[in-house]
Amino acid sequence: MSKSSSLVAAHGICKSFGSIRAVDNISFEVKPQQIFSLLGPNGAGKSTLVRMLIGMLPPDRGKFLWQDGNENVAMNRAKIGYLPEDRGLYKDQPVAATLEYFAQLHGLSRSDTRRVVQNWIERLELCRYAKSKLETLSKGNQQKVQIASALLHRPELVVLDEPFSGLDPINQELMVNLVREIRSDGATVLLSAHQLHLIERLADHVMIVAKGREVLSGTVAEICQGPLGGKTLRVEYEHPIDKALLPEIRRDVEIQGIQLEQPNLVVVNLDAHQNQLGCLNKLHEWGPVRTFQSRTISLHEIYLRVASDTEQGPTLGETE
Amino acid sequence: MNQSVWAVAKWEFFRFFKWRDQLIGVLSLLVTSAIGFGVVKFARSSNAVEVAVIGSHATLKLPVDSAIIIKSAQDSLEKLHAQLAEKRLDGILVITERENHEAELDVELIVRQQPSWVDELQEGLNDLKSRRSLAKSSILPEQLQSIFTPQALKITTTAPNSISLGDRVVAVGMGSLMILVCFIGLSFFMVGITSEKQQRITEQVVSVISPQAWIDGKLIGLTGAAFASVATLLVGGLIVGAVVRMAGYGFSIPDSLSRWDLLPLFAMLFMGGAVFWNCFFAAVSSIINDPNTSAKSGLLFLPMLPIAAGFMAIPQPDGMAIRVLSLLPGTSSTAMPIRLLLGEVVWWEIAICLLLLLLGIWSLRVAAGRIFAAGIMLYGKEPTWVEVLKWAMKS
Repeated sequence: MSKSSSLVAAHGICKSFGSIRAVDNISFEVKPQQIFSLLGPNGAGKSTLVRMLIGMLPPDRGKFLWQDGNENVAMNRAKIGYLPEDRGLYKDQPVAATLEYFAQLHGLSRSDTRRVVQNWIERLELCRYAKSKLETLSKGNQQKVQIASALLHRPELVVLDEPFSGLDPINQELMVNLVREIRSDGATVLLSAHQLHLIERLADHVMIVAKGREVLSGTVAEICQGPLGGKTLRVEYEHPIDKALLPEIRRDVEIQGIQLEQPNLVVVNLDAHQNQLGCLNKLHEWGPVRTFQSRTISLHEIYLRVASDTEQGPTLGETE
Repeated sequence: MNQSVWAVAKWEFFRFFKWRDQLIGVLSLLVTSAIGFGVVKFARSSNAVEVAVIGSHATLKLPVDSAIIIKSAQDSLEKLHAQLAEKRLDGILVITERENHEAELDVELIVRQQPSWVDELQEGLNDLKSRRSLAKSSILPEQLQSIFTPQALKITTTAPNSISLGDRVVAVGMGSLMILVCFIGLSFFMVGITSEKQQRITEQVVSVISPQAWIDGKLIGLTGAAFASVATLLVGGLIVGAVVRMAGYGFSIPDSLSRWDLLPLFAMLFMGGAVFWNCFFAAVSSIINDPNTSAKSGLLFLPMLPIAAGFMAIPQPDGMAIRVLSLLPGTSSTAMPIRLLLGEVVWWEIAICLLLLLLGIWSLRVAAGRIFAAGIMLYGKEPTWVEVLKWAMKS
């Protein structure tokens, strides 16, 4: 079997539920120690993709190829730590006992189990709750226990489906730090989330999916400078502008789009390679300018553009 | 069997079998029995009935444990009526000899309301009448006793073991224990699996171990927990029985309880039957979304019918129908033990029974594993029976 430079590579993955194509010919590669983020609106197929990756669902077509050349995901269970989107633990059981149970399921020996569980309890500042039932903990602390249950066995690949959902900003920050620690410990992280400001800070590689298909893939910088990225110019005039002027700008400069947001406020979208200065000069001809602002389009805005092009609502046979 | 199966088995066992709860259960049983025993004793002692007799009370003999206290009336009838009205007396019994018929008596009981103890009194009066009649005749008491003694009938059985009432009681008890084990297993599986679905635990566990390993662990752990719960109850029951026996309420221990040679076979049949039906409970529980509203919940009780069918073996342990039932995996766990106790079972019947039970468990375990694997991941809607059948058939 040939060895690959990527930890796992997906090749032409397809999955349908009845007549609905949930995942449509998606391919990607996750490099070792990378933080790889899957983005997409609800129903885009992210969770289906993740469930296939960890072997809970079989793909209809395509394959996942692991670094060791193995295609059988069941043999890679021990290498994966998974935090599902639909998550929960035994609410009526103590924290330490729950973690010990999962450590045993992951195949840890009895002595390792005690040591590892104690380490995680200390690391996540849960010492005072070790013997408390899970239901008595705050949601943030429950989430900590949940993520610990997925990481006890030091997996090579950590798959986190919506790890920030339901957390307050303080716990979100804790989670960000934890994801970074996981990576610095040598693991690879694949996460899907909607908190784009956090993804921008965390992800080495982002893949945006919509309607089961890959829309964009690359680093955050690459995506922001790609076809859906670029800059936004906001020009505020002293007086209202005649709407009929707007189409004229295309005769002189190349732009992505223009709109009159307010009677005296024009917004122009440019891609990364289009002439910002020429555009500004043209806009200046339309009247005295009070203020102007140039801004790089954020991942958030790109995501919104993708989402607006996608039919809203759960179109696929999954919960996302 | 791998480590994860045992980890699940241990977890599930202690998730449902709590020593403290079991101990509290046994103590409650003992306390309830003691209270019940005390109440009965007290009721018997405080229910003494005082009856004043006018006439030949001296010869009135009541049963030994009768609550009626006979006393000779010292007062006039009017005064006795007054005592009756004031509830200082429960009855006035007036016995007079009939004129010209010295053996005959006229007896009148004066009470406030129809009494519950009249049968005891009637027994004493019948005895009185017999003795008076006997005294007037030339028949000796021994002769009279001989007349009324039923003809003795000696029954000789040709089968190796005769069936006593005690054996039948043991057989019923064993069948009932099996039903209890299944009921407890049913509740453990239904509560366990549906709560895991509702608390969204399934995806986390299935990402770590295969659904088949999970269900295998559950089968071991929850079947063990069901047996341990029944065993605890049994211990409590035995303690109560021992106390009752020591208190003088004797009962004989049936011979069938000392059939230690059958114990391993009984254990295999009980364990096998419980595992067989627990596979079914696991599969059905996994397709139930909410046990309170699901129409499929009722299906969980279906196995009680074939299990209870084993009781048909009690009146006719070797009838054709029951011989067939004692071989089939769903019914053998009750029918075969009862037949072993009360009937005649040949070795090849036991062999076929165990073989079919093993095959049944293996097939149902595999089918249940497939249904479980698909069912536990399905939230919000329940599958149709056609879908469930497809899951069971497809690996």
